[in-house]
Amino acid sequence: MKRLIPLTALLFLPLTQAHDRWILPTHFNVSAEDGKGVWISADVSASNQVFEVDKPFGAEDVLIITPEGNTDRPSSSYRGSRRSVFDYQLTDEGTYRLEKEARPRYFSRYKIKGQDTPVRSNLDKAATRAAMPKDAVELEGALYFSRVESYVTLNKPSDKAFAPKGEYLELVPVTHPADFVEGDPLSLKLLFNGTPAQGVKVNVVADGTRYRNQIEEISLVSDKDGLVQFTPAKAGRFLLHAEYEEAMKDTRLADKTVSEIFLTFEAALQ
Amino acid sequence: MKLKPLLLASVLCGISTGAFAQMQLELSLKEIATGQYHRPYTAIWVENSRGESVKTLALWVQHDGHKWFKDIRRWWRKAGRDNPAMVDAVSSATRPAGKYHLDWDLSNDEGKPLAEGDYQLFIEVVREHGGRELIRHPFNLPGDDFNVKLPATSETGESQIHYSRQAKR
Repeated sequence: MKRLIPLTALLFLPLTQAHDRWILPTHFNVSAEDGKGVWISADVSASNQVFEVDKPFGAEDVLIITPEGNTDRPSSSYRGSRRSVFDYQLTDEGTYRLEKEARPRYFSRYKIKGQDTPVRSNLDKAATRAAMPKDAVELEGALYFSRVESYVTLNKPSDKAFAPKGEYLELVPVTHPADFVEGDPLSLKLLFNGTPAQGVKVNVVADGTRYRNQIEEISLVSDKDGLVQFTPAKAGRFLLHAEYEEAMKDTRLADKTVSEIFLTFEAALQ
Repeated sequence: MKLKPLLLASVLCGISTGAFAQMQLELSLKEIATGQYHRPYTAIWVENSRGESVKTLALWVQHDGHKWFKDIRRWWRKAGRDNPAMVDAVSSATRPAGKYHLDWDLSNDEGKPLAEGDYQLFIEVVREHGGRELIRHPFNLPGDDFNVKLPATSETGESQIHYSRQAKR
């Protein structure tokens, strides 16, 4: 007898199990005399463990949003076997956003009768349906959108680089990243398509998982105003992952959108 | 007359190494529902009083798992990296959550009986996107019979070690 699987269960099966992705700058807060630029460098990598460089997740397409809100590119970049690296000179006072250029991508999968593992495709549902065998079943698709970002501040912090674009999941710091301090609560706001998003799952992990037995993850869910608040127990570097899923009204190309953000930040010493 | 020393030797051997003795381990791998779940990498081995590995009882890894051996940190340092032939011989597939029963006849990696002395049994459980646990239990050979409960950890449920100098028949 054929067992019926509720559609909601199908919707929330993960389509991909991806690595963590991150941009880790050498400095999050720098100071310099007026008019003198400061060089920073950053690693770009994807891995299963926080900040353990593993896969060279390219640095060529990194965007830098300046304190004035302009878009710039790295001065130079390098793609190694385990990581990519880029350099950039901060010249204007204020807060810069470093981000990987993000594009929405479709993923689909279906099953072939008698086979346990689903067949995956990098196409939308309509294109997958056209290409899959006639007897394939359980076709489902998702629209993925991932942001990978970090903030770096030269001298006095500024807010312009926080400006949301109103597309997919976005994170706007309420506490300024230059003011993240160990033992002090900090808050962040999560938006989906420009409006506060409730129910965004947020996980925060401190650097150094290689040298401890437990991941010691902080797990949070955003409230009705899209806010999450937590307190970094110790100074150091952290990787935050936020994920939000929403069922699509028009399911011709995908059943759901999965939108995520990886944010690298530092909590300073008291 | 020639038989006697031989017999004596075998009897002595039986006493000193516990030829009839055996250890049984019931290991419970915990059901973990949070986060991304991958079956844990598990190594169970015995070290002597100098901290040298003498026997790997079990190694549960992914089929193409050599890349991840280093993540079973202590087992790799003590046993794995020095003895690729043994690794190939004992490794088997990862196990899902559940209870597992292991019998050990107190022989070493070469199949020879262990000498009298102090030993420690180690259980190392490592999970991708998850935690790691290192459980140790000291014991002595030939020693007295024992039955110990190992308390649950973040990766394992309550487990047991049973040691008997006289094997059940």
